[in-house]
Amino acid sequence: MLRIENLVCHSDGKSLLDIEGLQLKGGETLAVLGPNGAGKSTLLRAVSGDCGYDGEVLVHGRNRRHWRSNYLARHLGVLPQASVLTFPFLAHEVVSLGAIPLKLSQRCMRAEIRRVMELCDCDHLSERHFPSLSGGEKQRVQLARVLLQLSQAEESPLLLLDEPTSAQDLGHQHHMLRLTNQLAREGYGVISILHDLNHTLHYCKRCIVLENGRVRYQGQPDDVLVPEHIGEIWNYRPAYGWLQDDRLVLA
Amino acid sequence: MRIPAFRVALALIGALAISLVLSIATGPLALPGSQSLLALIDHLFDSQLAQLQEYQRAVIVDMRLPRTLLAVLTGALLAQCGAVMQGLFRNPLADPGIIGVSSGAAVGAVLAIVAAPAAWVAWATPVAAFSTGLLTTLAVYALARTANGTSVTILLLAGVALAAFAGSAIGLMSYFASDQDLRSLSLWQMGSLTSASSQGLLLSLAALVLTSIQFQRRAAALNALLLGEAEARHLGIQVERLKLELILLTAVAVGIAVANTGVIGFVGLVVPHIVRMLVGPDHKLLLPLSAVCGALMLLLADTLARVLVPPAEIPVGIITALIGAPFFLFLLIKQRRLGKL
Repeated sequence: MLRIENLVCHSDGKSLLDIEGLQLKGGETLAVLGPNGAGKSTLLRAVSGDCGYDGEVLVHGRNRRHWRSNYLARHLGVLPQASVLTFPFLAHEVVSLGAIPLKLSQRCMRAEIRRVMELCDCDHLSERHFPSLSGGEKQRVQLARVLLQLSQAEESPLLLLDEPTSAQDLGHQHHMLRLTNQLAREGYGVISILHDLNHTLHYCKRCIVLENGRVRYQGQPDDVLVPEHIGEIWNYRPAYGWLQDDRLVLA
Repeated sequence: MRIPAFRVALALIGALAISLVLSIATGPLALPGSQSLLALIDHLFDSQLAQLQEYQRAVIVDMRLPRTLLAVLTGALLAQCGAVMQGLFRNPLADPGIIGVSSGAAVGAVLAIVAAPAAWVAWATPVAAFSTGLLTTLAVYALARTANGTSVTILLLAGVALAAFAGSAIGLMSYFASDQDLRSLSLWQMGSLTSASSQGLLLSLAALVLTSIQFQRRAAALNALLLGEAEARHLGIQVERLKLELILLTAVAVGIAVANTGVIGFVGLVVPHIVRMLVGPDHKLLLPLSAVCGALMLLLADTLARVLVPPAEIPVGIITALIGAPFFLFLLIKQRRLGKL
Protein backbone atom coordinates (compact mmCIF):
# COMPACT_ATOMS: atom_id res chain seq x y z
CA MET A 1 0.00 0.00 0.00
CA LEU A 2 2.94 2.34 0.55
CA ARG A 3 6.05 2.22 -1.59
CA ILE A 4 8.92 4.67 -1.27
CA GLU A 5 11.61 4.87 -3.92
CA ASN A 6 14.77 6.99 -3.83
CA LEU A 7 13.26 9.43 -1.36
CA VAL A 8 15.56 12.40 -0.72
CA CYS A 9 14.82 15.44 1.45
CA HIS A 10 17.05 18.48 1.68
CA SER A 11 17.02 21.55 3.84
CA ASP A 12 19.46 24.37 3.07
CA GLY A 13 21.67 22.02 1.03
CA LYS A 14 21.92 19.57 3.92
CA SER A 15 20.56 16.11 3.28
CA LEU A 16 17.96 15.15 5.89
CA LEU A 17 16.73 11.91 4.41
CA ASP A 18 17.95 9.51 1.77
CA ILE A 19 15.95 6.29 1.52
CA GLU A 20 16.47 3.95 -1.41
CA GLY A 21 13.38 1.88 -0.95
CA LEU A 22 10.75 1.06 1.66
CA GLN A 23 7.49 -0.85 1.40
CA LEU A 24 4.54 -1.34 3.67
CA LYS A 25 1.61 -3.68 3.15
CA GLY A 26 -1.88 -3.33 4.61
CA GLY A 27 -2.02 -5.12 7.96
CA GLU A 28 1.59 -4.37 8.80
CA THR A 29 2.88 -2.39 11.76
CA LEU A 30 6.21 -0.72 11.11
CA ALA A 31 8.22 1.00 13.83
CA VAL A 32 10.58 3.79 12.84
CA LEU A 33 13.49 3.96 15.26
CA GLY A 34 16.67 5.97 15.53
CA PRO A 35 18.48 8.55 17.62
CA ASN A 36 17.36 12.20 17.74
CA GLY A 37 17.80 13.94 14.40
CA ALA A 38 18.06 10.68 12.46
CA GLY A 39 15.23 11.72 10.11
CA LYS A 40 12.27 9.85 11.63
CA SER A 41 9.93 12.85 11.64
CA THR A 42 11.22 13.95 8.23
CA LEU A 43 10.26 10.54 6.85
CA LEU A 44 6.73 10.93 8.19
CA ARG A 45 6.53 14.50 6.93
CA ALA A 46 7.63 13.48 3.44
CA VAL A 47 5.04 10.70 3.28
CA SER A 48 2.31 13.03 4.56
CA GLY A 49 3.31 15.80 2.14
CA ASP A 50 4.45 18.34 4.73
CA CYS A 51 7.90 18.82 3.26
CA GLY A 52 9.33 18.91 -0.21
CA TYR A 53 11.10 15.80 -1.47
CA ASP A 54 12.63 14.20 -4.55
CA GLY A 55 11.75 10.65 -5.45
CA GLU A 56 8.57 8.65 -5.36
CA VAL A 57 6.04 8.16 -2.61
CA LEU A 58 3.36 5.80 -3.91
CA VAL A 59 0.16 5.20 -1.97
CA HIS A 60 -1.74 2.21 -3.35
CA GLY A 61 0.48 2.33 -6.42
CA ARG A 62 -0.25 5.95 -7.21
CA ASN A 63 2.03 8.91 -6.62
CA ARG A 64 0.71 10.77 -3.59
CA ARG A 65 0.86 14.04 -5.54
CA HIS A 66 -1.57 12.66 -8.12
CA TRP A 67 -4.28 11.85 -5.58
CA ARG A 68 -7.23 14.20 -5.18
CA SER A 69 -6.60 15.88 -1.84
CA ASN A 70 -9.97 14.90 -0.39
CA TYR A 71 -9.58 11.31 -1.49
CA LEU A 72 -6.04 11.03 -0.16
CA ALA A 73 -7.24 12.42 3.18
CA ARG A 74 -9.60 9.45 3.49
CA HIS A 75 -6.70 7.04 3.07
CA LEU A 76 -3.80 8.73 4.80
CA GLY A 77 -4.09 9.94 8.39
CA VAL A 78 -1.42 11.55 10.54
CA LEU A 79 -1.36 11.77 14.33
CA PRO A 80 0.89 14.69 15.30
CA GLN A 81 3.07 14.48 18.38
CA ALA A 82 1.36 17.44 20.04
CA SER A 83 -1.60 19.64 19.23
CA VAL A 84 -1.52 23.41 18.69
CA LEU A 85 -5.28 23.77 19.04
CA THR A 86 -6.02 26.45 21.64
CA PHE A 87 -9.60 27.38 20.70
CA PRO A 88 -12.24 26.11 23.14
CA PHE A 89 -13.70 23.26 21.10
CA LEU A 90 -15.27 20.42 23.06
CA ALA A 91 -13.46 17.10 22.65
CA HIS A 92 -16.21 15.56 20.50
CA GLU A 93 -16.17 18.64 18.26
CA VAL A 94 -12.46 18.12 17.68
CA VAL A 95 -13.16 14.52 16.71
CA SER A 96 -15.91 15.68 14.33
CA LEU A 97 -13.33 17.72 12.38
CA GLY A 98 -12.09 14.36 11.11
CA ALA A 99 -15.28 14.16 9.03
CA ILE A 100 -14.33 17.16 6.88
CA PRO A 101 -13.17 15.05 3.91
CA LEU A 102 -16.04 12.56 4.39
CA LYS A 103 -19.66 12.39 3.38
CA LEU A 104 -21.60 11.45 6.50
CA SER A 105 -25.11 12.12 7.67
CA GLN A 106 -25.49 13.82 11.05
CA ARG A 107 -26.76 10.62 12.64
CA CYS A 108 -24.03 8.38 11.23
CA MET A 109 -21.50 10.94 12.31
CA ARG A 110 -22.67 10.96 15.92
CA ALA A 111 -22.48 7.17 16.06
CA GLU A 112 -19.06 7.12 14.39
CA ILE A 113 -17.72 9.76 16.76
CA ARG A 114 -18.84 7.68 19.73
CA ARG A 115 -17.27 4.55 18.24
CA VAL A 116 -13.83 6.07 17.57
CA MET A 117 -13.80 7.86 20.93
CA GLU A 118 -14.50 4.57 22.67
CA LEU A 119 -11.73 2.91 20.67
CA CYS A 120 -9.29 5.56 21.84
CA ASP A 121 -10.58 5.47 25.41
CA CYS A 122 -11.58 9.13 25.39
CA ASP A 123 -15.39 8.89 25.24
CA HIS A 124 -15.59 10.04 28.87
CA LEU A 125 -13.85 13.30 27.81
CA SER A 126 -16.45 14.03 25.14
CA GLU A 127 -17.97 17.15 26.74
CA ARG A 128 -14.71 18.55 28.12
CA HIS A 129 -12.99 21.58 26.58
CA PHE A 130 -10.10 20.32 24.48
CA PRO A 131 -7.55 22.94 25.66
CA SER A 132 -8.18 21.90 29.28
CA LEU A 133 -7.19 18.26 28.65
CA SER A 134 -3.79 16.80 29.55
CA GLY A 135 -1.25 16.07 26.82
CA GLY A 136 -2.07 12.39 26.73
CA GLU A 137 -5.83 12.97 26.68
CA LYS A 138 -5.41 15.48 23.85
CA GLN A 139 -3.42 12.95 21.88
CA ARG A 140 -6.10 10.27 22.27
CA VAL A 141 -8.81 12.73 21.16
CA GLN A 142 -6.66 13.60 18.14
CA LEU A 143 -6.22 9.91 17.35
CA ALA A 144 -10.01 9.50 17.46
CA ARG A 145 -10.25 12.38 14.98
CA VAL A 146 -7.75 10.70 12.65
CA LEU A 147 -9.59 7.37 12.90
CA LEU A 148 -12.86 9.11 11.98
CA GLN A 149 -11.06 10.63 9.00
CA LEU A 150 -10.00 7.14 7.85
CA SER A 151 -13.34 5.48 8.59
CA GLN A 152 -14.62 5.67 5.00
CA ALA A 153 -11.46 4.46 3.24
CA GLU A 154 -12.18 2.35 0.17
CA GLU A 155 -8.76 0.71 0.21
CA SER A 156 -6.73 -0.09 3.29
CA PRO A 157 -5.81 3.20 4.98
CA LEU A 158 -2.34 4.27 6.04
CA LEU A 159 -1.91 5.62 9.55
CA LEU A 160 1.19 7.61 10.51
CA LEU A 161 1.82 8.05 14.22
CA ASP A 162 4.46 10.44 15.52
CA GLU A 163 5.42 9.11 18.95
CA PRO A 164 1.94 7.87 19.89
CA THR A 165 3.09 6.78 23.34
CA SER A 166 5.23 9.73 24.39
CA ALA A 167 2.45 11.60 26.22
CA GLN A 168 0.58 8.55 27.54
CA ASP A 169 0.67 6.96 30.96
CA LEU A 170 1.79 3.33 31.26
CA GLY A 171 -1.68 1.85 30.82
CA HIS A 172 -2.55 4.02 27.84
CA GLN A 173 0.83 3.39 26.18
CA HIS A 174 -0.12 -0.25 25.93
CA HIS A 175 -3.70 0.65 25.03
CA MET A 176 -2.45 2.73 22.10
CA LEU A 177 -0.12 -0.02 20.89
CA ARG A 178 -2.79 -2.73 21.21
CA LEU A 179 -5.11 -0.45 19.26
CA THR A 180 -2.58 -0.08 16.44
CA ASN A 181 -2.34 -3.88 16.25
CA GLN A 182 -6.12 -4.19 16.20
CA LEU A 183 -6.27 -1.63 13.36
CA ALA A 184 -3.58 -3.54 11.48
CA ARG A 185 -5.72 -6.69 11.77
CA GLU A 186 -8.52 -4.70 10.12
CA GLY A 187 -6.18 -3.96 7.22
CA TYR A 188 -4.62 -0.65 8.25
CA GLY A 189 -0.96 -0.05 7.48
CA VAL A 190 0.56 1.60 10.55
CA ILE A 191 3.87 3.43 10.76
CA SER A 192 4.84 4.65 14.24
CA ILE A 193 7.82 6.58 15.42
CA LEU A 194 8.77 4.89 18.68
CA HIS A 195 11.48 5.39 21.25
CA ASP A 196 10.77 2.43 23.49
CA LEU A 197 12.51 -0.63 22.06
CA ASN A 198 10.45 -3.00 24.21
CA HIS A 199 7.29 -1.59 22.66
CA THR A 200 8.81 -2.26 19.26
CA LEU A 201 9.74 -5.81 20.23
CA HIS A 202 6.32 -6.62 21.59
CA TYR A 203 3.95 -4.80 19.27
CA CYS A 204 5.53 -4.31 15.84
CA LYS A 205 6.01 -6.77 13.03
CA ARG A 206 8.81 -4.85 11.39
CA CYS A 207 11.10 -1.98 12.22
CA ILE A 208 13.59 0.25 10.51
CA VAL A 209 16.43 2.01 12.25
CA LEU A 210 17.42 5.35 10.77
CA GLU A 211 20.78 7.00 11.22
CA ASN A 212 21.76 10.29 9.55
CA GLY A 213 18.75 10.04 7.26
CA ARG A 214 19.57 6.58 5.96
CA VAL A 215 18.10 3.18 6.76
CA ARG A 216 20.80 1.48 8.84
CA TYR A 217 18.91 -1.70 9.72
CA GLN A 218 15.56 -3.10 8.87
CA GLY A 219 13.70 -6.32 9.50
CA GLN A 220 11.92 -8.07 12.33
CA PRO A 221 12.49 -6.37 15.69
CA ASP A 222 13.97 -9.57 17.20
CA ASP A 223 16.66 -9.62 14.52
CA VAL A 224 17.35 -5.90 14.38
CA LEU A 225 17.38 -4.98 18.05
CA VAL A 226 20.35 -7.04 19.16
CA PRO A 227 22.72 -5.52 21.72
CA GLU A 228 25.52 -4.86 19.19
CA HIS A 229 23.24 -2.82 16.94
CA ILE A 230 21.73 -0.93 19.86
CA GLY A 231 25.17 -0.08 21.21
CA GLU A 232 26.26 1.11 17.78
CA ILE A 233 23.24 3.34 17.18
CA TRP A 234 22.40 4.72 20.62
CA ASN A 235 25.74 4.35 22.41
CA TYR A 236 24.06 2.37 25.11
CA ARG A 237 24.48 -1.28 25.96
CA PRO A 238 21.23 -2.65 27.34
CA ALA A 239 20.91 -5.61 29.65
CA TYR A 240 18.51 -8.12 28.20
CA GLY A 241 16.59 -11.17 29.26
CA TRP A 242 13.60 -13.29 28.43
CA LEU A 243 10.18 -13.34 30.01
CA GLN A 244 8.47 -16.64 30.84
CA ASP A 245 6.62 -16.52 27.54
CA ASP A 246 9.95 -16.20 25.69
CA ARG A 247 9.55 -12.54 24.91
CA LEU A 248 12.80 -10.58 24.78
CA VAL A 249 13.09 -7.64 27.20
CA LEU A 250 15.69 -4.88 27.12
CA ALA A 251 16.60 -2.78 30.12
CA MET B 1 -21.06 27.75 29.36
CA ARG B 2 -22.48 27.26 25.89
CA ILE B 3 -25.87 28.63 24.87
CA PRO B 4 -27.77 27.00 21.97
CA ALA B 5 -26.96 28.88 18.78
CA PHE B 6 -30.55 29.51 17.74
CA ARG B 7 -31.27 31.23 21.05
CA VAL B 8 -28.22 33.44 20.64
CA ALA B 9 -29.26 34.19 17.06
CA LEU B 10 -32.80 35.09 18.13
CA ALA B 11 -31.57 37.32 20.94
CA LEU B 12 -29.06 39.10 18.69
CA ILE B 13 -31.55 39.65 15.88
CA GLY B 14 -34.17 40.93 18.35
CA ALA B 15 -31.65 43.29 19.91
CA LEU B 16 -30.57 44.45 16.46
CA ALA B 17 -34.17 45.23 15.48
CA ILE B 18 -34.69 47.26 18.66
CA SER B 19 -31.41 49.10 18.09
CA LEU B 20 -32.40 49.92 14.52
CA VAL B 21 -35.55 51.64 15.77
CA LEU B 22 -33.57 53.35 18.51
CA SER B 23 -30.98 54.58 16.04
CA ILE B 24 -33.60 55.98 13.66
CA ALA B 25 -35.52 57.66 16.46
CA THR B 26 -32.68 59.28 18.39
CA GLY B 27 -30.41 62.17 17.61
CA PRO B 28 -29.73 65.80 18.49
CA LEU B 29 -33.06 66.76 16.88
CA ALA B 30 -35.82 65.35 19.12
CA LEU B 31 -38.48 63.59 17.06
CA PRO B 32 -41.18 61.21 18.32
CA GLY B 33 -40.16 57.59 17.70
CA SER B 34 -43.49 56.57 16.15
CA GLN B 35 -43.39 59.48 13.70
CA SER B 36 -39.81 58.63 12.77
CA LEU B 37 -40.83 55.09 11.87
CA LEU B 38 -43.87 56.30 9.93
CA ALA B 39 -41.59 58.62 7.95
CA LEU B 40 -39.48 55.59 7.06
CA ILE B 41 -42.57 53.66 5.94
CA ASP B 42 -43.63 56.67 3.88
CA HIS B 43 -40.22 56.70 2.25
CA LEU B 44 -40.39 53.00 1.41
CA PHE B 45 -44.01 52.81 0.22
CA ASP B 46 -44.61 56.38 -0.94
CA SER B 47 -47.43 56.83 1.61
CA GLN B 48 -48.32 59.91 3.69
CA LEU B 49 -48.65 58.54 7.22
CA ALA B 50 -46.18 60.66 9.17
CA GLN B 51 -47.11 64.13 10.30
CA LEU B 52 -43.68 65.71 10.08
CA GLN B 53 -42.25 68.84 8.60
CA GLU B 54 -40.22 68.43 5.42
CA TYR B 55 -36.91 69.17 7.24
CA GLN B 56 -37.79 66.63 9.94
CA ARG B 57 -38.53 64.06 7.28
CA ALA B 58 -35.17 64.83 5.65
CA VAL B 59 -33.36 64.26 8.94
CA ILE B 60 -34.88 60.78 9.20
CA VAL B 61 -34.59 59.66 5.59
CA ASP B 62 -31.47 61.43 4.37
CA MET B 63 -29.36 61.55 7.49
CA ARG B 64 -30.31 58.94 10.09
CA LEU B 65 -31.29 56.12 7.74
CA PRO B 66 -28.09 55.97 5.65
CA ARG B 67 -26.01 56.35 8.76
CA THR B 68 -27.88 53.53 10.51
CA LEU B 69 -27.46 51.27 7.50
CA LEU B 70 -23.76 52.08 7.23
CA ALA B 71 -23.30 51.24 10.91
CA VAL B 72 -25.01 47.87 10.41
CA LEU B 73 -23.05 46.98 7.27
CA THR B 74 -19.68 48.18 8.56
CA GLY B 75 -20.11 46.49 11.94
CA ALA B 76 -21.02 43.21 10.24
CA LEU B 77 -18.06 43.43 7.84
CA LEU B 78 -15.51 44.26 10.52
CA ALA B 79 -16.70 41.62 12.99
CA GLN B 80 -16.85 38.87 10.39
CA CYS B 81 -13.39 39.71 9.08
CA GLY B 82 -12.11 39.74 12.65
CA ALA B 83 -13.47 36.24 13.19
CA VAL B 84 -11.84 35.03 9.96
CA MET B 85 -8.47 36.57 10.79
CA GLN B 86 -8.49 35.08 14.29
CA GLY B 87 -9.09 31.69 12.72
CA LEU B 88 -6.51 32.19 10.00
CA PHE B 89 -3.81 33.19 12.47
CA ARG B 90 -5.04 30.72 15.09
CA ASN B 91 -4.80 33.61 17.49
CA PRO B 92 -7.87 34.96 19.28
CA LEU B 93 -6.11 38.31 19.59
CA ALA B 94 -5.78 38.87 15.83
CA ASP B 95 -7.71 41.67 14.17
CA PRO B 96 -8.18 42.84 10.56
CA GLY B 97 -5.83 45.71 11.31
CA ILE B 98 -3.03 43.29 12.07
CA ILE B 99 -2.56 42.17 8.48
CA GLY B 100 -2.00 45.78 7.44
CA VAL B 101 -5.27 46.74 5.75
CA SER B 102 -6.28 49.44 8.23
CA SER B 103 -2.90 51.15 8.30
CA GLY B 104 -2.42 50.80 4.56
CA ALA B 105 -5.90 52.12 3.90
CA ALA B 106 -5.27 55.05 6.22
CA VAL B 107 -2.16 56.01 4.21
CA GLY B 108 -4.17 56.08 0.99
CA ALA B 109 -6.97 58.12 2.53
CA VAL B 110 -4.58 60.64 4.08
CA LEU B 111 -2.75 60.95 0.78
CA ALA B 112 -6.05 61.68 -0.96
CA ILE B 113 -7.13 64.21 1.68
CA VAL B 114 -3.82 66.06 1.54
CA ALA B 115 -2.84 65.78 -2.11
CA ALA B 116 -6.01 65.36 -4.21
CA PRO B 117 -7.65 68.51 -5.65
CA ALA B 118 -10.55 69.65 -3.48
CA ALA B 119 -13.18 68.56 -6.01
CA TRP B 120 -11.83 64.99 -6.07
CA VAL B 121 -11.44 64.38 -2.32
CA ALA B 122 -14.98 63.04 -1.81
CA TRP B 123 -14.49 60.00 -4.03
CA ALA B 124 -10.68 59.88 -4.12
CA THR B 125 -10.50 59.15 -0.37
CA PRO B 126 -12.43 55.85 -0.35
CA VAL B 127 -10.84 54.67 -3.60
CA ALA B 128 -7.33 55.43 -2.39
CA ALA B 129 -8.01 53.87 1.02
CA PHE B 130 -9.29 50.68 -0.52
CA SER B 131 -6.44 50.39 -3.06
CA THR B 132 -3.58 51.01 -0.66
CA GLY B 133 -5.17 48.74 1.92
CA LEU B 134 -5.28 45.92 -0.59
CA LEU B 135 -1.75 46.64 -1.82
CA THR B 136 -0.41 46.65 1.75
CA THR B 137 -2.07 43.34 2.48
CA LEU B 138 -0.65 41.75 -0.64
CA ALA B 139 2.78 43.11 0.26
CA VAL B 140 2.56 41.61 3.76
CA TYR B 141 1.42 38.32 2.30
CA ALA B 142 4.25 38.28 -0.27
CA LEU B 143 6.78 39.00 2.48
CA ALA B 144 5.44 36.18 4.63
CA ARG B 145 5.49 33.61 1.85
CA THR B 146 8.25 31.05 2.12
CA ALA B 147 9.07 27.84 0.26
CA ASN B 148 7.21 25.88 2.92
CA GLY B 149 4.08 28.04 2.88
CA THR B 150 3.25 31.28 4.63
CA SER B 151 4.68 31.82 8.05
CA VAL B 152 2.16 33.24 10.46
CA THR B 153 4.95 34.71 12.56
CA ILE B 154 6.43 36.62 9.64
CA LEU B 155 2.94 37.64 8.53
CA LEU B 156 2.26 39.18 11.94
CA LEU B 157 5.68 40.82 12.21
CA ALA B 158 5.42 42.22 8.68
CA GLY B 159 1.99 43.59 9.59
CA VAL B 160 3.44 45.28 12.66
CA ALA B 161 6.38 46.75 10.69
CA LEU B 162 4.13 48.04 7.90
CA ALA B 163 1.73 49.53 10.43
CA ALA B 164 4.63 51.44 11.98
CA PHE B 165 5.77 52.57 8.53
CA ALA B 166 2.24 53.66 7.65
CA GLY B 167 2.01 55.53 10.96
CA SER B 168 5.13 57.55 10.21
CA ALA B 169 3.99 58.22 6.63
CA ILE B 170 0.70 59.57 7.96
CA GLY B 171 2.59 61.63 10.55
CA LEU B 172 4.79 63.13 7.84
CA MET B 173 1.82 64.00 5.63
CA SER B 174 -0.09 65.48 8.57
CA TYR B 175 2.93 67.68 9.30
CA PHE B 176 2.60 69.30 5.86
CA ALA B 177 -1.19 69.33 5.73
CA SER B 178 -3.20 72.54 5.85
CA ASP B 179 -5.21 73.24 8.98
CA GLN B 180 -8.48 72.30 7.35
CA ASP B 181 -7.08 69.06 5.89
CA LEU B 182 -5.64 68.24 9.27
CA ARG B 183 -9.08 68.37 10.88
CA SER B 184 -10.82 66.14 8.34
CA LEU B 185 -7.79 63.88 8.48
CA SER B 186 -7.85 63.39 12.23
CA LEU B 187 -11.64 62.97 12.17
CA TRP B 188 -11.34 60.26 9.54
CA GLN B 189 -8.64 58.53 11.56
CA MET B 190 -10.94 58.44 14.58
CA GLY B 191 -13.58 56.63 12.57
CA SER B 192 -16.93 58.18 11.83
CA LEU B 193 -20.17 57.12 10.17
CA THR B 194 -21.20 60.62 9.09
CA SER B 195 -20.07 60.26 5.48
CA ALA B 196 -22.65 57.63 4.49
CA SER B 197 -23.20 57.99 0.75
CA SER B 198 -25.53 55.80 -1.28
CA GLN B 199 -22.58 54.46 -3.32
CA GLY B 200 -20.70 53.71 -0.12
CA LEU B 201 -23.73 51.84 1.19
CA LEU B 202 -24.10 49.83 -1.99
CA LEU B 203 -20.41 48.96 -1.99
CA SER B 204 -20.60 47.83 1.65
CA LEU B 205 -23.71 45.77 0.99
CA ALA B 206 -22.08 44.07 -2.00
CA ALA B 207 -18.94 43.38 0.04
CA LEU B 208 -20.97 41.96 2.93
CA VAL B 209 -23.00 39.65 0.69
CA LEU B 210 -19.90 38.47 -1.19
CA THR B 211 -17.73 37.86 1.87
CA SER B 212 -20.53 36.29 3.94
CA ILE B 213 -21.16 33.68 1.24
CA GLN B 214 -17.48 33.04 0.55
CA PHE B 215 -16.51 32.87 4.23
CA GLN B 216 -19.41 30.53 5.03
CA ARG B 217 -18.30 28.17 2.27
CA ARG B 218 -14.89 28.03 3.92
CA ALA B 219 -16.17 27.67 7.50
CA ALA B 220 -15.30 23.97 7.78
CA ALA B 221 -11.84 24.60 6.33
CA LEU B 222 -11.33 27.39 8.88
CA ASN B 223 -12.25 24.95 11.65
CA ALA B 224 -9.64 22.52 10.31
CA LEU B 225 -7.09 25.32 10.16
CA LEU B 226 -7.48 25.80 13.93
CA LEU B 227 -5.95 22.33 14.32
CA GLY B 228 -2.79 23.57 12.62
CA GLU B 229 -1.78 24.02 9.00
CA ALA B 230 -0.28 20.56 8.58
CA GLU B 231 -3.34 18.95 10.16
CA ALA B 232 -5.63 20.94 7.85
CA ARG B 233 -3.57 19.78 4.88
CA HIS B 234 -3.88 16.17 6.06
CA LEU B 235 -7.65 16.68 6.10
CA GLY B 236 -7.51 17.40 2.38
CA ILE B 237 -7.63 21.19 2.53
CA GLN B 238 -5.50 23.20 0.13
CA VAL B 239 -4.11 25.41 2.83
CA GLU B 240 -2.05 27.85 0.77
CA ARG B 241 -4.93 28.60 -1.53
CA LEU B 242 -7.34 28.93 1.37
CA LYS B 243 -5.10 31.41 3.15
CA LEU B 244 -4.65 33.54 0.03
CA GLU B 245 -8.41 33.58 -0.61
CA LEU B 246 -9.18 34.51 2.98
CA ILE B 247 -6.62 37.31 3.00
CA LEU B 248 -7.92 38.74 -0.28
CA LEU B 249 -11.55 38.60 0.84
CA THR B 250 -10.68 40.22 4.14
CA ALA B 251 -8.65 42.93 2.42
CA VAL B 252 -11.56 43.76 0.14
CA ALA B 253 -14.11 43.83 2.95
CA VAL B 254 -12.04 45.76 5.48
CA GLY B 255 -10.74 48.07 2.74
CA ILE B 256 -14.28 49.04 1.83
CA ALA B 257 -15.28 49.41 5.47
CA VAL B 258 -12.28 51.59 6.27
CA ALA B 259 -12.76 53.66 3.11
CA ASN B 260 -16.33 54.47 4.18
CA THR B 261 -15.79 55.14 7.84
CA GLY B 262 -12.10 55.50 8.62
CA VAL B 263 -10.45 53.37 11.26
CA ILE B 264 -12.99 51.84 13.66
CA GLY B 265 -11.13 49.55 16.00
CA PHE B 266 -12.06 46.78 18.42
CA VAL B 267 -15.26 45.66 16.67
CA GLY B 268 -13.30 43.00 14.77
CA LEU B 269 -11.41 42.08 17.90
CA VAL B 270 -14.06 41.97 20.62
CA VAL B 271 -17.18 40.76 18.82
CA PRO B 272 -15.87 37.32 17.75
CA HIS B 273 -14.69 36.88 21.37
CA ILE B 274 -18.16 37.47 22.73
CA VAL B 275 -19.78 35.16 20.18
CA ARG B 276 -17.18 32.45 20.77
CA MET B 277 -17.88 32.56 24.50
CA LEU B 278 -21.59 32.10 23.80
CA VAL B 279 -21.65 29.41 21.09
CA GLY B 280 -18.11 28.03 20.87
CA PRO B 281 -15.47 28.35 18.14
CA ASP B 282 -17.26 26.53 15.27
CA HIS B 283 -16.97 28.94 12.33
CA LYS B 284 -20.26 27.77 10.80
CA LEU B 285 -21.99 29.55 13.71
CA LEU B 286 -19.27 32.01 14.64
CA LEU B 287 -19.16 33.81 11.28
CA PRO B 288 -22.87 34.68 10.78
CA LEU B 289 -23.44 35.41 14.48
CA SER B 290 -20.37 37.65 14.57
CA ALA B 291 -21.78 39.60 11.64
CA VAL B 292 -25.09 40.18 13.47
CA CYS B 293 -23.36 40.96 16.75
CA GLY B 294 -20.91 43.34 15.04
CA ALA B 295 -23.78 45.19 13.39
CA LEU B 296 -25.52 45.48 16.75
CA MET B 297 -22.41 46.70 18.56
CA LEU B 298 -21.47 49.37 16.03
CA LEU B 299 -25.07 50.56 15.82
CA LEU B 300 -25.29 50.94 19.61
CA ALA B 301 -21.91 52.68 19.70
CA ASP B 302 -23.00 55.12 17.01
CA THR B 303 -26.31 55.84 18.75
CA LEU B 304 -24.35 56.52 21.91
CA ALA B 305 -22.00 58.79 19.97
CA ARG B 306 -24.95 60.90 18.86
CA VAL B 307 -26.68 61.30 22.23
CA LEU B 308 -23.80 61.67 24.71
CA VAL B 309 -22.99 65.35 24.16
CA PRO B 310 -25.74 66.85 21.95
CA PRO B 311 -25.67 68.61 19.60
CA ALA B 312 -22.03 67.54 19.11
CA GLU B 313 -21.18 64.01 17.91
CA ILE B 314 -18.27 61.96 19.14
CA PRO B 315 -16.52 59.98 16.35
CA VAL B 316 -17.78 56.42 16.73
CA GLY B 317 -14.22 55.00 16.62
CA ILE B 318 -13.57 56.72 19.95
CA ILE B 319 -16.67 55.11 21.48
CA THR B 320 -15.76 51.62 20.26
CA ALA B 321 -12.24 52.05 21.60
CA LEU B 322 -13.49 53.46 24.91
CA ILE B 323 -15.80 50.48 25.42
CA GLY B 324 -13.75 47.91 23.49
CA ALA B 325 -10.34 48.43 25.03
CA PRO B 326 -11.33 47.93 28.70
CA PHE B 327 -13.56 45.03 27.70
CA PHE B 328 -10.68 43.46 25.87
CA LEU B 329 -8.39 43.93 28.86
CA PHE B 330 -11.04 42.29 31.01
CA LEU B 331 -11.07 39.34 28.59
CA LEU B 332 -7.30 39.12 28.75
CA ILE B 333 -7.25 39.10 32.54
CA LYS B 334 -10.02 36.51 32.67
CA GLN B 335 -8.26 34.27 30.19
CA ARG B 336 -4.97 34.63 32.03
CA ARG B 337 -6.66 33.60 35.25
CA LEU B 338 -8.03 30.53 33.52
CA GLY B 339 -4.53 29.81 32.24
CA LYS B 340 -5.71 29.88 28.65
CA LEU B 341 -3.27 32.49 27.47
